[in-house]
Amino acid sequence: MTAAGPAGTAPRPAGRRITAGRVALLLSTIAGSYWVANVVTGWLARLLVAAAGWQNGEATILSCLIGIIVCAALVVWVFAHRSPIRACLALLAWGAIATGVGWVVPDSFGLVAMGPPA
Amino acid sequence: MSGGSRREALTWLHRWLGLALGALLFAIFWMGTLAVFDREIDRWMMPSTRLAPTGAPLSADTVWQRFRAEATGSPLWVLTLPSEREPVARVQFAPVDSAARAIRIYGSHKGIPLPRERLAILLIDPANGAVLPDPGTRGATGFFFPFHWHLMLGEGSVGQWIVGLAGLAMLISILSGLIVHRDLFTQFFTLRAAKRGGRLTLDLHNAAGVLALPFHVAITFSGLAIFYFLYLPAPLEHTHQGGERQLFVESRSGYSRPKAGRPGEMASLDAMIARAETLWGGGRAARVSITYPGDVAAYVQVTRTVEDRVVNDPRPVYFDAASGTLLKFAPIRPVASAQRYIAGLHFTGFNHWLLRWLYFIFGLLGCAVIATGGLFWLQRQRKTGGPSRALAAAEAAIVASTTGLIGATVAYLLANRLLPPGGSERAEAEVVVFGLAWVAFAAHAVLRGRAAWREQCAMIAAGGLAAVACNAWLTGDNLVRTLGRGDWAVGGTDLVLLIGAALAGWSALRLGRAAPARANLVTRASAR
Repeated sequence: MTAAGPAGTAPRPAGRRITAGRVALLLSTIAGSYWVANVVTGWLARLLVAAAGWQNGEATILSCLIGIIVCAALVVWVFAHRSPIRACLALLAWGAIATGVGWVVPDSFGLVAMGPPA
Repeated sequence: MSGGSRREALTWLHRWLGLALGALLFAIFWMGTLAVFDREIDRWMMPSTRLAPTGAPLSADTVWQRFRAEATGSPLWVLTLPSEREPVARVQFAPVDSAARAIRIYGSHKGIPLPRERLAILLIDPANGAVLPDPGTRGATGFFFPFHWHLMLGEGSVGQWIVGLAGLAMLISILSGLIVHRDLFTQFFTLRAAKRGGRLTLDLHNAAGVLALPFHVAITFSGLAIFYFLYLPAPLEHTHQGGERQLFVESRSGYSRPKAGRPGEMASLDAMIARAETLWGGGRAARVSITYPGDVAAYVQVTRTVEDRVVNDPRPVYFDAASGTLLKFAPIRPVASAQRYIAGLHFTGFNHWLLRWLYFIFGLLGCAVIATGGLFWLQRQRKTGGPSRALAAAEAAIVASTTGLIGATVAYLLANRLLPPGGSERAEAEVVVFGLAWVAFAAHAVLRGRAAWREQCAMIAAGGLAAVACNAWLTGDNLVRTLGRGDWAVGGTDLVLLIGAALAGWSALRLGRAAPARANLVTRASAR
């Protein structure tokens, strides 16, 4: 199956366009998953310290270990979703919201200072 | 999305992650598998260190007195005591005024940057404290192991990030593979050895993947968990303002204080070791480090061996260097302990030969899973798409990254036996030989197409046999002699090389028989 290319050029195979689109989706998904996992683990670490009274080091290690699994699971979740493109967009939106909340509301819930790192 | 199309999307994810990062993953798995026996390969590559274990413990004070003048002013002085797997002691420091002592470039130590170009690593005979001649090689601990975790691009470099990305891709591939290959158990018991081509390759891919699945999950996750602070920096920035050292001091019961800049004395290191061993309540010391040797604020860290346990917790004990008084000894906290357990699963510091062999075999199975995945894709493309330039390039890349890498490793071992004696230049020459051999194997794969599989297998077989023969000829340590005296490090490396050569030779013969059969089929089809 082929699709018409720009005027005067040979038609491009549809399979190649689909693959290029999926590669872009994969890269966006990996970047988005990493972004979300990193921001959320940062929150989690501070939450454990501030709310549960954990030692800084302990909170850092646990949240990072969870973050690694979350990052991999998010990529699989996007591709297992009914619409991977929509799931990927949602992921990127979560990343933006999570980061934005941290910058705009530095003292969320009066519990954890989620502002940008000192 | 229906179940079918979900599975299709995940199959696509599994396939493309494998294809894009398969070569890199194979290299990481291959080097990691070799690093399981890095100390043993070191003995093979460094004949001067093939020493019989001595019963008497090495005096750290004697070794320190020997290097005191040179090490004073160095940021760090480290003595690694001999062990069952490594019968020589090792001293590391940055000499202030002795360019001649600079043997090998090694990097930093526990976050303390050491001047790379002037770092000395000296091997000590524990029987008499004599400095052994420079082995003139990085060995396996200085090449296979660092290649495994940072691709020889340096600690904290882009290489470590690339390895991290590959690890994440492996984890995603495993997760998606579990969903794609729904009938795991059925697939595990399905090996249609009589079938040829794609079907057999896929069966091998599935069987090897399922057999070592827990290992692959554990080893991939633990590899990522070792450098958690690097790969996910946000928590560290929130809790420690980006201070890695502060995190280690806190979570691993570390200790640190600044240099005073005034000269100081040194109390007995042997007494500190004895005190540390009492505090541990069992287990012997593995390493003694002096931070700022010769300074009044110098402190000594004594760490425990981890060869009798899985958890990679060396339980550091800190002493004031001048007085020998205890500065700090505290157990690490539960989460840090869990992380060290996960890291220990990856490091295989423990002395358990059956487990070590299982790690080696499962590591090879990991290599097989990655290679057969690429091969299956290739065979399917050949069937559905026919020959094309892109397919030829993909095949060359797969050949170069699998048999080419194995061939380059054999060339590295051969260079170790054949290059004339020398110091650090010789060690670097071996690495250059490895790189050139890999490039040559890649060029051969491009030029020879499908025939490259067979020819490279034959070259690996010949190289493996030559390495064993050269070892026997140049060091006098033939298999009968090494196994006769119970030297399993050298004898075992020879044996594995022979088994590898036999397998490569068998593969070359099998592929040689398959090639004319394929040609006959094509001839018959075109005649029709």
